[in-house]
Amino acid sequence: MPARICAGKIKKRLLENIDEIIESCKRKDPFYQERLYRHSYPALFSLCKTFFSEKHDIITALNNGMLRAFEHIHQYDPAKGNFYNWLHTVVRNAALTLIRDKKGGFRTIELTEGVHISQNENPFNRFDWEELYQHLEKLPTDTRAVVVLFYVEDFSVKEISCHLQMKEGTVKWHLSEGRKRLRNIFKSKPEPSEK
Amino acid sequence: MKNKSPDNNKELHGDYPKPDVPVEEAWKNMHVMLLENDLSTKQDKKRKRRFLILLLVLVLVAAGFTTWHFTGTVRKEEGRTEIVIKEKNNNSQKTNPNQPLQNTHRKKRGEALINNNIIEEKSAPVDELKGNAHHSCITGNDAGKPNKNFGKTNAEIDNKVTGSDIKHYITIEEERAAPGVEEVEKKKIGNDFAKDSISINQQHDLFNDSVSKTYSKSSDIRPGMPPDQKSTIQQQGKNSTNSRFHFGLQWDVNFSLANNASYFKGYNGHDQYYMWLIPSIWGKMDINKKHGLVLHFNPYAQQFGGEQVLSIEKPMISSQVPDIVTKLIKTRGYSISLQYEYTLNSKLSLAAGVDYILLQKALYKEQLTDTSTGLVTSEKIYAATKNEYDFRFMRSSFIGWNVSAKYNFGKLSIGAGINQPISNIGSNDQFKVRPVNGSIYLQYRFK
Repeated sequence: MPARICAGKIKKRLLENIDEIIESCKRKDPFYQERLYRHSYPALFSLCKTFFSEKHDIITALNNGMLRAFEHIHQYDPAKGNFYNWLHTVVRNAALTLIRDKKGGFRTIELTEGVHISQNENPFNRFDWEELYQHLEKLPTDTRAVVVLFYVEDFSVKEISCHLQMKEGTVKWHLSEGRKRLRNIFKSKPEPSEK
Repeated sequence: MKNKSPDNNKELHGDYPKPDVPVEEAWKNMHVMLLENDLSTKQDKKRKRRFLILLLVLVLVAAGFTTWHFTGTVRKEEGRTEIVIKEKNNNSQKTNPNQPLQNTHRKKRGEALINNNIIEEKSAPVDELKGNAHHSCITGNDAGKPNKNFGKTNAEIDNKVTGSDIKHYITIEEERAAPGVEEVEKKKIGNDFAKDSISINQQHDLFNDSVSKTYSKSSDIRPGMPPDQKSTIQQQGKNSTNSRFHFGLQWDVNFSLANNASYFKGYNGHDQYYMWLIPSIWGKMDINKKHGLVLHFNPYAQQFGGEQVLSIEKPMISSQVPDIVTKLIKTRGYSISLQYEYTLNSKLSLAAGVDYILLQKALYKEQLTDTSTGLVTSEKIYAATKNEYDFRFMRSSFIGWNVSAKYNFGKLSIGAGINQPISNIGSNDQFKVRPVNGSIYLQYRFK
């Protein structure tokens, strides 16, 4: 029976043995794969929950990301960066891929010229996780994804356009739509500016 | 609020809310996915192994067939000329080198007379003998002259010929059927005759169909010619046809000279081990013996990109957002090729030409690369069909050059070549994509 993760010494031990876990995962050791999964689960669940409200979608995005991470873990080079940074990026990209695959949900309305998107401060910075989820719940899936990428992940409009394969005008429309629906939190802060 | 990229290992141990879905439940799903992934990888490997074994068997069968075909044909070609003999063998008329030649079947002028062992012709004026002069093949140089050997013994005649000719006649004698056989016999006495052999056919036909002779189309064989030279001419005669036009099928195995990752990956997500079995059609027009033009149509022409970069989409500002790198794995389309072919000899040919390829599908590898570390954070393989948005990285068609060499086994040929697009096949001029491909092909000629 694989050992369960718990607080304190075991967690600390995991941190110290992360290299050992990575090497074991490269050998496709199921025991260490489970350890890594359980260890990373809370953070990655929170990440995926910012994009999706449905539990099924959250777990799908998370597991797709972890599967990709396990498949390509041999590509991770410790000299080039932090492992959890790498893992976070992989899972986030898996979530974006899942959103992209649901292309039918995206509207094709574009903002006409003359509409200006500006941002001086990110209103989401002052929220904790629970408050953030509560506000994001009010948004449709596609708008939510754009808002999260823009305000939470600090993507630019062009970057969002590339990742989600939608036109920049559409991205702007979703940002505008997001501000309309969350006008109460945006009213208390200056409007966002385009990056 | 969390930054989009935790900057150290401890970030994942921050204050995250309790997940709505328990980790045990999520892990069950993950575990199943990992098992299925392993299983599908193993199944893919098994399928690949099975296909390679099947391919090896096919290659061995093809090699065996071509070897049998080639060697069998060479045996037949030794002495392509046949004589059908219908006679009664008299036991008393045994071969006796010292016995004078006997005219036993003299019928009419111009007819070949067949004695026990040798063709002889009756004495006739020179002009009448011209058509039949080669009957006295022993003295082939005396064509057109009265048969000097008439009335001479076999031994005396044999003394005038070369060793190979003597041997050839001796072989014939040994091959004759046992005495008393009245059945039609086919005898092979080779192509030891000079030109105008066709006239012999006509003369033989007059002889109440009891003698017929077919000659090799290669009329350059002379008496006394070395055996290897004879077999070369016989082979050339066998390979050549009266028609200037030829056609057949060709099976190509194309591959990148740089990178063949995802070689068998199909455009529908499944592996395509069958792609080598799809043939193309070729047609050739001979300008003369050495030169020819070949037109080739391939409905499943593949160009392997070697994972050359088609596009890099960078974030506007330097950040942790990864670049999107799109690489070309392979393309598929219709190809028309025009080649000039030079025949070195009966075995070897060289060809060079140009192709025009109309693209239909492309298979890409998209990688998200961390800008600061250069690390590939994720990748996926996907296909794009012409007229789809994702096809935007490719041009719709391109022109390429090709060179090849082939070795002939009669109707089958095996060749190898190289081809490359002349122009950039990607739509982005910043990235020149002109992958060099090698190819091995098997060609079959119907006519």
